[in-house]
Amino acid sequence: MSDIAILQNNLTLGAIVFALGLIGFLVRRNIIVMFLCVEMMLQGVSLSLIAWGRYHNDWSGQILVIFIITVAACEAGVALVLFLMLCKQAGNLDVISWQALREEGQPAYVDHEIPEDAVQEEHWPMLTPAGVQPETDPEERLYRSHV
Amino acid sequence: MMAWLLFAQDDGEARAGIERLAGAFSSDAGRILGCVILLLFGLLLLLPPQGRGKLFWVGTLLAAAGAFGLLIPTLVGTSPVVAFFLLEILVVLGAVGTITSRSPLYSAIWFAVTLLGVGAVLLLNGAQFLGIATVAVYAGAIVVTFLFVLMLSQPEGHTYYDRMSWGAFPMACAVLSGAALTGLIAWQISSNVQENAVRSHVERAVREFAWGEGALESATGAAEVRAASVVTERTGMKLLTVDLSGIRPGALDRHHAPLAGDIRRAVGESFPATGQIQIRRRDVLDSNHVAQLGRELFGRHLISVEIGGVLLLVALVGAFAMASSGSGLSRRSAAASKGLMS
Repeated sequence: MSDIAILQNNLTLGAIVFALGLIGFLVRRNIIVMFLCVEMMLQGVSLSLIAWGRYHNDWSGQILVIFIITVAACEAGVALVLFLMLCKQAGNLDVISWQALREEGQPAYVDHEIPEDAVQEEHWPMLTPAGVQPETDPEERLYRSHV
Repeated sequence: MMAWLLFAQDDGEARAGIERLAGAFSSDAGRILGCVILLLFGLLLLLPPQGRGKLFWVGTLLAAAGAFGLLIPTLVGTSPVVAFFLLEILVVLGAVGTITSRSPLYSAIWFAVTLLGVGAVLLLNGAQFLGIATVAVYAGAIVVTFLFVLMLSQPEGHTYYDRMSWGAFPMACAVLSGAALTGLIAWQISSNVQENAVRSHVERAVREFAWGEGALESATGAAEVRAASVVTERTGMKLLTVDLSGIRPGALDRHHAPLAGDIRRAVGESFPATGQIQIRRRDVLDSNHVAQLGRELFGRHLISVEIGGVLLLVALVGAFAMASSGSGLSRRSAAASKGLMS
């Protein structure tokens, strides 16, 4: 009966991971975090597939998970480039910037109140200043925004 | 139920009520329902619009109690209990951390923690190659790429949209649907899997026994062999008690089946004999796992491997095309060349 117990345990774990990914996808608004949650749902499915493969003593589950990892890598590469492009156009990673894609007739979502940032200004350790601060080229700021 | 318990006057009535309540929660459906409700409230306290204040630990406790209430009763009977328990703590905590972290940076790092746990669970389940591949490919490559993109696109770290969600009602609906999904799956698993457990166990034993008998017959080329029974089942090995009386000495040499060597080793050269032979199963939990996985992958699934390779190439070219044709890069290179010329 140990096989059954392991199967049941792993299937439950896979279900919990999948559902947590689903909740994260529905609740979070940062595109990258939403994508991480989709990857987490894939992990839940992988867990179940491996558990079934072990139970039936069959390789197909593991083969399928190998292809899941392959497709997930492709998907991550393409999606991250898309996110970079979207972020350049919208200026942030909020999915609300792209709500013009919503279904016709749906009202636009408007933020009612924006919560205060509870995190205090953090003080990072700094080296003691040495020498004079170099002048920055004003033209350089045109193409290097975060110098 | 609780209110009725509080107002019950009669002592015996109250005791009966408590027993009924305990019975409801000791049954699987009741336990799963209770755990799902705990998980629901724990996540509602943890997810973004709520602060990271006093209720943080309450939420963590509730979510952890819910998740482990679902998981721990199914741990009974697994062989490495402590290992499974610790790894599941790692996986669930990482997953909850991923979806509740305010900073996407911490989300990615918690996701890497989840991946470590998942990789170790895969390792315990006999998927050695995949356990390593998950950690190397996911945690090593994909998560690092995520961190790169995060640093490129959101270098300031904290943003307002990471601290909020879609409002109270949609968020409650989302968490409720996720928790209900968990509950339904856990309930289905606990009822159906347990029900079918005994039947499928017997079926499996019969199937493997039939495999052993057929293989023995083809190995010896005779119906003289009567494989008596599957005695025990160990990891990777199957013990067959075989009655080899009446077998002809030349029979083993005529048929070069994989079992011939096993039989010869078990009974020696002395025929007729009765002996126990150990037969290696072609098993997922086998020790030369990777060789067998490779045989399966590049044998039965060769076309899929080729298609996967082409898909990787297409994704690479597509990602590069999108990245280099974006407006931002050309403007930047124009600005850079102007800066060089002036």
